[in-house]
Amino acid sequence: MKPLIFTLKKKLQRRLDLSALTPDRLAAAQEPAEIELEYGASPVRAGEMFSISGEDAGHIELRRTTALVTRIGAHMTQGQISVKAHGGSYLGYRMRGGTIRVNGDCGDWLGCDMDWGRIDVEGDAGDYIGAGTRTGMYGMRDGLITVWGNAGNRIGEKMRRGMIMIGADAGDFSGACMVAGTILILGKSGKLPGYGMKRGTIILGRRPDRIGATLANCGVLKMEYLRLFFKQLSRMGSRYRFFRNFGPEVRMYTGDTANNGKGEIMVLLNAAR
Amino acid sequence: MKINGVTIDDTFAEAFPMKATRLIITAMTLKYAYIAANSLTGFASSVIACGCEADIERELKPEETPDGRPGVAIIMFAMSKAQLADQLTRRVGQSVMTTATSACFAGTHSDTMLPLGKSLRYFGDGHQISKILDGIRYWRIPVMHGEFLCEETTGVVPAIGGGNFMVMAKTSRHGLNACEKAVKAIRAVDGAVTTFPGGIVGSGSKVGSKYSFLPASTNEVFCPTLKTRVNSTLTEEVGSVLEIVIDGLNEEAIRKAMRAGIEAVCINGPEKGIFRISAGNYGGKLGPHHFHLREILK
Repeated sequence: MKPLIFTLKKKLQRRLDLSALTPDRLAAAQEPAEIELEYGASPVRAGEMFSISGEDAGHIELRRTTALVTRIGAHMTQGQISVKAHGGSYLGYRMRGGTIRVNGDCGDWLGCDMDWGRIDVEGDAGDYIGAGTRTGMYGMRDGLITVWGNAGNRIGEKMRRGMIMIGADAGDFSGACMVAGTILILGKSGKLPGYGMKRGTIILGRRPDRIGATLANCGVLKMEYLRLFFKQLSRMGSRYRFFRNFGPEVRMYTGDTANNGKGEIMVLLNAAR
Repeated sequence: MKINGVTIDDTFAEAFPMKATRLIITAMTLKYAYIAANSLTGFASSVIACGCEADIERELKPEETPDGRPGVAIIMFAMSKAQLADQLTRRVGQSVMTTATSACFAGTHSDTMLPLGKSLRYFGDGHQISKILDGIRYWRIPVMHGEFLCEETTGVVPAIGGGNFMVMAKTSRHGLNACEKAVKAIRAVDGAVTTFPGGIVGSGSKVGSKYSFLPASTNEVFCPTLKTRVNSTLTEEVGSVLEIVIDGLNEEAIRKAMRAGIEAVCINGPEKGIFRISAGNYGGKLGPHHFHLREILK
């Protein structure tokens, strides 16, 4: 069956909330064009904003979206959303299952507060990937976020479980205050990764710009766990096969001791792709 | 029925239900994987007094193990899940975790899982770390050589213990020569192991004893020194009887293993001192699984 395709037909002037366009909601809807969306502060029917074709409500495809769209796939529990353009901000907000694939870039708060599921972004993404909302106690609680491009600041802030993988560079304060889970940054990372971290693992492909004074240097270690980790990653598809070349030798930092933390930062010494 | 001049008795091996789990033990080198596995499977010949039965199933290449290091697969059998769980914690804790550079993973997954790292993690004294990969939880327990990596649980499956056959030989030397070939052939069968030392039983037992405190005692009808004193079926030329006991994950594995083992023994034939093959049973009263020798060898 052909996916249900929503092609944006208007130039957006304001924020367009697409949280209603999920496989869960569409499965229950009689007519996709009648689904109510939020455009700025006003309600608008999906049919007014999008030209709609296709029939598989379990696989939604979004085309010509811009940075002004928000909350794609929010609260979704199943199915697949393919975004052929910009993913906007808050993509995958509080998602609990299913898969979102984005061909372009994404804004801030990607996978914010997510519980489960998988998000793949081909391009770059903004700040606070997999982080929690300002008032929330934790960030993402499970699932997998992969950004093949660059990422902004404070990725995985307060994250509780799951994994975030950044294929290129990341900004400052990665894994700030993280509670558990794994962040993997293959490129260069900015200042002070693991700031205030309690537990969890940050794996860096290259030495960061600056490591906090309260992250203690444990020296060079061979982490046998990484063999298992990289072997599992290498099985995730042909694109992940380069992980077979990665070795378990790392320079290890633990902390953040300022927060009585037991987290770990592993800077890979053998990460040739 | 005769194979290469060796008489195959018209009898059957009687086996009984057990619970089993498979473990994958890896280490920096194959040598240390074997050291851990041999330590774990040591003193695990029979549930009569060892708590469990266990043996190495096969060697694993790095590409077959979860962490890409060389390893071995072992299978552990016990009479109940509780007994198996108890032995798992003791043996993996004392034999595998203490072996330098080792790691331990589940080799079977089923609806019923037994704690593995889930119990052993406490050795980390609060410093242990759990990681979930592909839906499976692993425990990283900090130890002096680095980290002991262990899967949280391992699957327990119904299994069969006590498949067996007896080799009646001219002397122990003749018997051992043939039985070693049998053990080697059985090792090639997946899902079946021989848990006794060297895979060969030198002192097979019967159920019960004249002494009330003993659950098992010597199988006198197969003892060459007693052939004139008990109701023995041993002929004059038989000077040694060795038994091969096979535990397996299913009937098919035991059947295949028995066939491979008996055929390997029969290659020696009477000219190399092998006269007869029989099997141990209790008249069908002990176990529901009956492996008829002549059927298996058809």
